[in-house]
Amino acid sequence: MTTMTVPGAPRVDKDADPGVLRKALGAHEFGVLAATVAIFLYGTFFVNNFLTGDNLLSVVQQITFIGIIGTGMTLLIVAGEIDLSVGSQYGFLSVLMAYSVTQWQLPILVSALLVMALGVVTGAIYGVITAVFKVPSFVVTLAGLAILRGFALLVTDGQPLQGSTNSAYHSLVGGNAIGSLAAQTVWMVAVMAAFGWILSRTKFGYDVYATGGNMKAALNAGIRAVRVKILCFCITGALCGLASVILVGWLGSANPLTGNGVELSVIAAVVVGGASLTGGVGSVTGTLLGALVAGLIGNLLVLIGVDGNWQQVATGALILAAVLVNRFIATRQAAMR
Amino acid sequence: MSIAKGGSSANLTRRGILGGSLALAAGATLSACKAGSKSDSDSATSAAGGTPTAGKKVIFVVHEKNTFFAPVQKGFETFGKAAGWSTQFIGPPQFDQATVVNMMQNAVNAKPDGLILTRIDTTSYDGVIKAAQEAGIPVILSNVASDGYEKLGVGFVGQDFVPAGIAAGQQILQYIAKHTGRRDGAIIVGKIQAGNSALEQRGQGIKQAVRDFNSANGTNFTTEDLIVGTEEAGAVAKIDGRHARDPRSVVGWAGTAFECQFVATWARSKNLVGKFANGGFDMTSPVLAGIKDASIDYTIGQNPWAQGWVAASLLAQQIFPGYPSFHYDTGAEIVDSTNVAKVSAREAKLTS
Repeated sequence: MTTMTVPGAPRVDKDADPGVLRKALGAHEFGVLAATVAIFLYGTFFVNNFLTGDNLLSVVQQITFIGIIGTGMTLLIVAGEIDLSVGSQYGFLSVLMAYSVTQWQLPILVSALLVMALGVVTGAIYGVITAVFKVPSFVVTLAGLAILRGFALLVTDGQPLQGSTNSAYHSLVGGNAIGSLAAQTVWMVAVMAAFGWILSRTKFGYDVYATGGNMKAALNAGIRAVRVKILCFCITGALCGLASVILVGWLGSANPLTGNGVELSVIAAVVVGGASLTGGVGSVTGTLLGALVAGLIGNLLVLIGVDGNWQQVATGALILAAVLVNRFIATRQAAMR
Repeated sequence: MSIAKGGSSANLTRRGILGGSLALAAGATLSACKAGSKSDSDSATSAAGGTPTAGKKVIFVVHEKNTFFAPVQKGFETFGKAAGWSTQFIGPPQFDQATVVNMMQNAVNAKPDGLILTRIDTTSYDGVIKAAQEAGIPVILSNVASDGYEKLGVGFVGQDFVPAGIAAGQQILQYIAKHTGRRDGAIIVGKIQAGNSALEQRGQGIKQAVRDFNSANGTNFTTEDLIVGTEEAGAVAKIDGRHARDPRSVVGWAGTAFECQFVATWARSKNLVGKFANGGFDMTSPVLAGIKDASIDYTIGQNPWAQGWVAASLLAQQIFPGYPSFHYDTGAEIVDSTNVAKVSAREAKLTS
């Protein structure tokens, strides 16, 4: 890299460690971090009942499903693919979880493993069709969205299904872990921490970024990019399964319309979190912040007393603002290179 | 090539400004939204400051904000204004179980003086209802309560769905005789949504009426479900698809909500009005217009105004002086060509 120094200006070596502050300010997650802090401060100073332990824990609990499924979606988007069927998959697997426990009377652990395994199989099918047969993932998973919702309706005959009444199962996934801290929050944190580490610290994570950044170059570098993409689809499917297991344990039932529109919330969280839909950019931390922004906005709008119709407008506007900031930072970074 | 000019401070400043701007934008947006919604509640509070519950904050959370709920909201806000309440009416644009629960939980966290909720299945919403009760917030259910709601110790304002479905079944059979004169054929039981216990119970009522009619008269009508959704183009395509499969088999379309308006749209476009019976539930403008132009034969009303107004009034007496709420049946009003003008005039008052 050639470096040109402007006369009179102090010389800065771009390859040197940029420092924590500069790194934070230049990160793709800066926009969403700024949004999170801004919204949090607004709530703290101007909104009654916002800054209470129960309310904040409740907000974090509410983003559980977006966070867990969003983790898989982050891997996929970083790998340059997308899964539009996650809402339907989560709905179908929820129904299957409830059905296998109550109708087939399978033990809960077996049902949970079955549901997650089916998520993996679904992901593998998407992955093979996308990566091997070169059909765009948004087309494959759009078809999956319709098929899986149809299966959910077929299995239930359109009716909500009762889940298990097993108290241990409920406590494990739907109860409180410590004080008011919900067990499902702990599950989300564990999943996001594990995959955040995998994505940022392991060879597999490096391969995911390389595959999404430039698949041809990744293949030339000896990365098994096709396998990486299939694995990312499988992980997303498994996480949809895990979210379903948690949902059924928490609410005690499964509705065939569960997850209706959730794919958009998940993709919004990932993109607001700084990921690029063209692949190669994104992080689990960003997705967590993206989900948190959505959760905080939803919570604040109710606490403030905003009418339901305005909530849609405000949510969209604030998400757009966060994405614009991300875009601005990305452009600035590109110009600085 | 890159140009190093020690410009980190410039970046810092711009990003600082950007972050600050975002904070201001977020605050301004939220404030603007609040300002937009505040006028009703503020004027409400000042309009009736002398009532025993004046100044109370009450939140109504529905499982899906669709056109049906407009008069419910109007009834709720009208009572709220008279009582001097600050009111909030919320719900997701499309149903998702966890989203609805989260919205209800946010409403509990807002520490209102009362909550009105819809409970569309038998377990999912019980946790949040109990959380509200533990926080000392009175709760009443409206529109749909599902089996077992009594165990929660809450009242319910809404229709008795199975008897209303039976009334709808009797209507569709009457109009099948009028339009087709046939003694057999398929009656399509339309649904705008799967997994909604109210619609399922109405569907059960329709099927029961058909079974009873077949037994009593030796007819051979069959029923089949068709989920059409709430989006008109998609619904019309599904209706057309079912009809195209075996056009002669269909003698009637018996909706469990307002899907008869989609059947009417489709029938008008295909010049099929009057070739079969068509009816449903609810009194949305397109449904009433369809009865006027004869593309819809009947609808069963459930007094949505009362589901807002009466629910709010029962909640008011629960807040002060403390009478427990109870079940209030909002009925099954049959609307057809004989009374549609009068009903339309009444319903128009809710949108003026």
